[in-house]
Amino acid sequence: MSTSVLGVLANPFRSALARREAPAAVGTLRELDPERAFEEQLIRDAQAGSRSAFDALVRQHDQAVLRLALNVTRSENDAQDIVQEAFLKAYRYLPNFRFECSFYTWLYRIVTNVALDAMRRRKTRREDPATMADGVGGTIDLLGNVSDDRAMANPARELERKEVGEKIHEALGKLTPRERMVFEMKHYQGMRLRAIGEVLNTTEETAKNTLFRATKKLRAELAPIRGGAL
Amino acid sequence: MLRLYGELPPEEVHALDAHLAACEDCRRELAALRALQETVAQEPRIEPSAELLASTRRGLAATIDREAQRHWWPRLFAGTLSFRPLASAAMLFAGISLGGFSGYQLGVKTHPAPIATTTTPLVPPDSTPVASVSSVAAQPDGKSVLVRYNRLVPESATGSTDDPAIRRLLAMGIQSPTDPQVQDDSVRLLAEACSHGPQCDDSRVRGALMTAARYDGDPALRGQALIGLQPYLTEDTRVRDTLLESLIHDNSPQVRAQAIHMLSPVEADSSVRQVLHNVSNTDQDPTVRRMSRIMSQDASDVGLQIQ
Repeated sequence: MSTSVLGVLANPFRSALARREAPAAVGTLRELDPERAFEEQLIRDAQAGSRSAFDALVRQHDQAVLRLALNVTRSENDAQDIVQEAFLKAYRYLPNFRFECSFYTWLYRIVTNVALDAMRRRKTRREDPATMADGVGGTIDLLGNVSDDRAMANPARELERKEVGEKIHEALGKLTPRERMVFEMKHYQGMRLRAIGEVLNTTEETAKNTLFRATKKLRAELAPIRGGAL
Repeated sequence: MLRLYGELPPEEVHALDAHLAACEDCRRELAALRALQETVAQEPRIEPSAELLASTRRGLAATIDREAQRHWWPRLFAGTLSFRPLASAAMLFAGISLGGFSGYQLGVKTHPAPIATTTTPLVPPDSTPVASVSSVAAQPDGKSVLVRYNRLVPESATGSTDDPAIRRLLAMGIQSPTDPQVQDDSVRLLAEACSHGPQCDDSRVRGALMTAARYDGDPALRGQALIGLQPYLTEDTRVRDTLLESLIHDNSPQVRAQAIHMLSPVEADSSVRQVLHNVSNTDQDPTVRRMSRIMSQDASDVGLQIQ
């Protein structure tokens, strides 16, 4: 090595070693499962200024955050904006993270706040197409792009599927941003109501009531699809 | 509804079942809710494409880079810099200064300094840079001044590149914002160690190589970083994503061609096939397009064999 890495010896390395050697009564890392202990280590290193540790944290969550943003906004541009803003806030405020809740909950609080703001702005713009804006200014027909092998050989069924999809999309678009978010997290992401409450900084009971309201609205909107059977 | 979502406590499930058995309206209500769930499940879900994910990550990395370059003190006044470490450092500083000053006073009282005698060098030696000046005090003689300062004390570590601690140091060397030569040497040594030596299990070490593969200014070093990641391609999806990003976005045709070559162990992966297919149609370099087409064809053949 022609030059030394000594100039970049940073405290995080030594502090990480020190933590590893610390008695269990001081550090709780040994009591955690390896995955959580590893994440905690990453968070502490990122808090100490390690960019690579922060990048590793981003990589653990960015795809799921992008998926959530993409499905609630139906716009690649908006989804990218949400991801950028959310992780930028996470970067700024990470030093304030005190391990009082899981990192997932903390991060998703930021993500849902940013996403709800974006959805509210969209509501005021009344953008609600059944097409999705792609990253280069074009549009993608969402329903036409989703392959459904069951309908491939049956054009009439394909058309019906597309119409049903449009109606569902319209019905979801009539929910308030908060109802839409709760429904997304419960119905599509399978999160527990308690976790949804924590992420939205509210109670499980409130999350449940929001889900009830969303379901009631969707029933009313979608009743004609099944001849009133909803 | 809570029952359908699996949110009802077990003790209430039995009570509800008993009630449903005797209540036709309630059974109808449950069936309607189930039908609603099935209907809403038809809403098409969008999965982020590899291209979208890669472009989002690039944009985010640039945003964080800009943020990291901001000076620390605006963050302090904005309240986003943690106060506790600063307060601890300040208290430590104050303690050391106070202790030093008390010791100095005690020393002065016990052993009065001989007049016109200098026991410490007037300026610190150049070999150990001064990190900060902690106190300045005019001396009673009216001519001299006592300056207390802290020095940066370099440390060194020697060891095999198979040693995880050395690898972590090299990973930090890759993140070095100050010395490009340190970055280059660290990439070379770490890539070599990870491609031939024991497993680089530390995700920070792999993360550093992934950073180098994406952002190093030298295409040869980006290619070397990719080689260092090769052993982990099949087990670590982040490594696969890094290769795909290089294939899509790297401005060097040599690096893109290398990425194609390295992707062969995972060519049957659907996202890899999709990217190869796109690259085979859109890449500016005819060799890269041809290589992608061949690899894409191989992947299709593998898919057919599996079926």
